[in-house]
Amino acid sequence: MPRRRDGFALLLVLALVAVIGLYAAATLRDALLGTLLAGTRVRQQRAFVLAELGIDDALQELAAGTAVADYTRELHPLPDASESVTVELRAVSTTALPMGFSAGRLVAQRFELHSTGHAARGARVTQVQGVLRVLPADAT
Amino acid sequence: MKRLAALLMLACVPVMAGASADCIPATPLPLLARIGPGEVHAALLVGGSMPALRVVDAASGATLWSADAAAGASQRFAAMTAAFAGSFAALDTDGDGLPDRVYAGDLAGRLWRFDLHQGAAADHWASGGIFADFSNELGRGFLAPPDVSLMAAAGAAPWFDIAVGTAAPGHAGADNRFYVLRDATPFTAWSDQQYRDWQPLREADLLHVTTAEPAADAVMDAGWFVELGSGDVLTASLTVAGRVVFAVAEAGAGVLGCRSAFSLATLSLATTKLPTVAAGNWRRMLDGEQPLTTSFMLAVAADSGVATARCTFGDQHLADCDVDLRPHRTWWRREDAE
Repeated sequence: MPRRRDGFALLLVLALVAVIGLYAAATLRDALLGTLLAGTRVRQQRAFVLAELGIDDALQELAAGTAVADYTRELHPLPDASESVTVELRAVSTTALPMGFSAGRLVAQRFELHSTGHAARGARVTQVQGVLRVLPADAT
Repeated sequence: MKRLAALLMLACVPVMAGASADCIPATPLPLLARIGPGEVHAALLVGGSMPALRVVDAASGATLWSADAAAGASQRFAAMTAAFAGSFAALDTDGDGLPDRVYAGDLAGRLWRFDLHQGAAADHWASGGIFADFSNELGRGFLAPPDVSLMAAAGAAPWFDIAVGTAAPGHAGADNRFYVLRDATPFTAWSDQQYRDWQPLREADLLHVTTAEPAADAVMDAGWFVELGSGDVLTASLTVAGRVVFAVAEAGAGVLGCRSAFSLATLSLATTKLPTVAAGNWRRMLDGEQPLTTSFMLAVAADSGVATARCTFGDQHLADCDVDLRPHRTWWRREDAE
């Protein structure tokens, strides 16, 4: 007389569904984490690029004028108002012994630029750039 | 005897140039001086004879310090037997706002190096001695101020290049030179004993730069020189981005009263590669109407956005020594990434 096996099939299906469910949940969690990480990375990249824009802006201003005072300013180079750059220019030193130039007749000015890009959700990157320029001594 | 020769030479400079005494004025060097515990004086370093060197208060003209071989000066330097004209350069090597190094060329073709001890009494205010001796029997001396530039090469300590040329107006056979000398201790003050021990550089210590390629084993530890023949260096050279530009006043028929034709040369100061004098380094300015005191000038145009300071010699623009005013990025770091 054959034995009844109906209950075994049900248990097998339930176990299979449970395994698939766990796998799907894990996959979903990875996907969500990946999306989150990608979003954070994109915002950090935007902050990095914003900081770079701030440095470019400060360098252009340095190139345009002979004497520049220290400053801190905020820029909005992109249409999104929530994204901004804070640029701080600080003169570090002026030396009358510029490397490779006539001492006393030309001077070397050293600056330090702190440019912080602010992107969405508080993403922030600061680039610090050293800058050197040479000027005739009587132009400083 | 040397003093007599120097005095004669000093007296003869304008005469031999075929002009008035204003042709090549001995220009004093403005500098700040604190002699003794008192205040800092706006002063002038003045060359001459008896004494050979003086520092005078720029306002009152009072002598603050003097140096000579003879008694009566604040400090005596036994070898200071020749007069000085206006071949002076003062440097502030420690950045305290006061000069602490002076290079001075005398009329006997010797370059002096002095360390100034600001705040010391007049009888100890300077230590110094002959750094290089290029005197010859034909009377060449230093009239133009030295042009000093800080240089460095990879893996080597920085040094000063001192670019200076000789002159002997009217002496067609003076066999003038343009020298670039290396001072390997740019930021170190020498003691009196170190000055006494120093053997002055001579031409034998230098690389003789010609149109020929230098020998593969040639060394340039002490510097180099080029021959100028009868041409005179009367004004300071200018160093821009490791290249020195200097002018040579033509002798003989090129001199018209207080004016002369000039040749210009642009040479690399050569931090690693040895220099040569290629034909392209020289350019004759055909204008014989340049004043003998014509010098290199740098002017920044008032227009905003200007990227260079224009270099001129007399009324001629020289692109060789234009100065790039654009800011350059040096080091970089990233911080505060959140």
